Amino acid sequence: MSDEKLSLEVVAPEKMVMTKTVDMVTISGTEGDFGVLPGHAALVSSIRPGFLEIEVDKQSETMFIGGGFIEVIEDRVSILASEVLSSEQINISECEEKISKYTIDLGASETDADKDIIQKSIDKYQAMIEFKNSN
Amino acid sequence: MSNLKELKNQIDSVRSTRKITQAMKMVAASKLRRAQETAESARPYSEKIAKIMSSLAAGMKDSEVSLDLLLGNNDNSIHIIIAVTSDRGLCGGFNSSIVKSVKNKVIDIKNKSSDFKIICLGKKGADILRGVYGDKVISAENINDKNSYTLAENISNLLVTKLDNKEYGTCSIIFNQFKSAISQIVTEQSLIPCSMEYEEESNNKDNLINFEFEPDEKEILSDLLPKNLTIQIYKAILESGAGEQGARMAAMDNATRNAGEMIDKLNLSYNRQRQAIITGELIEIISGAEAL
Repeated sequence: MSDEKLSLEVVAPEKMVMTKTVDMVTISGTEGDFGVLPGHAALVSSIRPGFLEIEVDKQSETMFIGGGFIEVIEDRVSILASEVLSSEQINISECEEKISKYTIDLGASETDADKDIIQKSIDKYQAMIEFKNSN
Repeated sequence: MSNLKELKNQIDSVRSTRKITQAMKMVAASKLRRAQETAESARPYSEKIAKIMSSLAAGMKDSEVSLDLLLGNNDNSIHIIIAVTSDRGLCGGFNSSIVKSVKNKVIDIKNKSSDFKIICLGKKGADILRGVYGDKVISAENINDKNSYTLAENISNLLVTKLDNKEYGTCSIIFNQFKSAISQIVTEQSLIPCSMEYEEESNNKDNLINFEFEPDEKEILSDLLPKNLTIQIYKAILESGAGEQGARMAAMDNATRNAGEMIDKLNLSYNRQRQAIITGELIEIISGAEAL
């Protein structure tokens, strides 16, 4: 690995989650998972609910991200996340409850726009469970 | 004698008022600290999203795609004003300054022979503006500290739907920007078309960068724009929340001081009267003794 590093910034609506110097960032983009190494081309991408993995000195750390955006400019990575959770903060039975509740809502909703929003919430909680299980 | 008693009662009542205002001041001071922290910790996100927005929008200008959310709908002259006030009173000129600037904005709009609609956030502003403009107030929500993000999301969803239905053309938000505990600045920010605070500085360097987009530019932008809208409204609510506590603290501080002054004055005249009565009694006794 080269000496070059990425400076990473993760922000959620309520607060700055972290600022760190890292070796590599892997994240779940809407068009598929991808990794960012130093020297990456300038990029703006949206993120689907999924994971964020950062690697510092061969140590890796993963957390759940509830969707958002990522911007990469000249080795500066900014992640705008709607939600950031660690594995311990996720409770599977709670997620399952939410999913079953939203599934009922989905049947009751009428407009496509409503259905879209509810479906997105379901996807988010499913991604949460998936994340929890894989860690 | 009865006058003396009245004065005593008055002093007591001012004293208990002072106790209340003092307590309210302290409550506001502790709430202020928390509100200020939330408002300040929300700033990085809103600044970041605005930066990404403007670098994206700079690239979009040349392309043919134009989105109503970014540029506004020029065919429709209705302007929506979002007025952010507080749910509770007793905070000095906090709410009335918002109402005043909404009124000025309305006069401005009328001069351009356009029409307007108002969305109120916060009970106090809604009460006053409903009285003045009646049906022009299309929506009024109370601000509940706990779910201000959901509230912001609801409002931005409402705005997006209404824009899709071509019910209005442009939109701006008027709120108290928190500057310090004693000063709030009434700020008007354009939401639609999107205000580009960072345009100047980003224009210089970002024009040189060719971004890769995933998925394409338009899709990201149509995802990002509603998000940005929500965040800007959310930011306004938080700033206003911190400002409200600051304004209340200042107002209550003044009230406490005024009550103190009033107590001093009342005490003075109470003592004078008491002394006058005593002197009167003494004279009576002395002149009685002399008569013997």
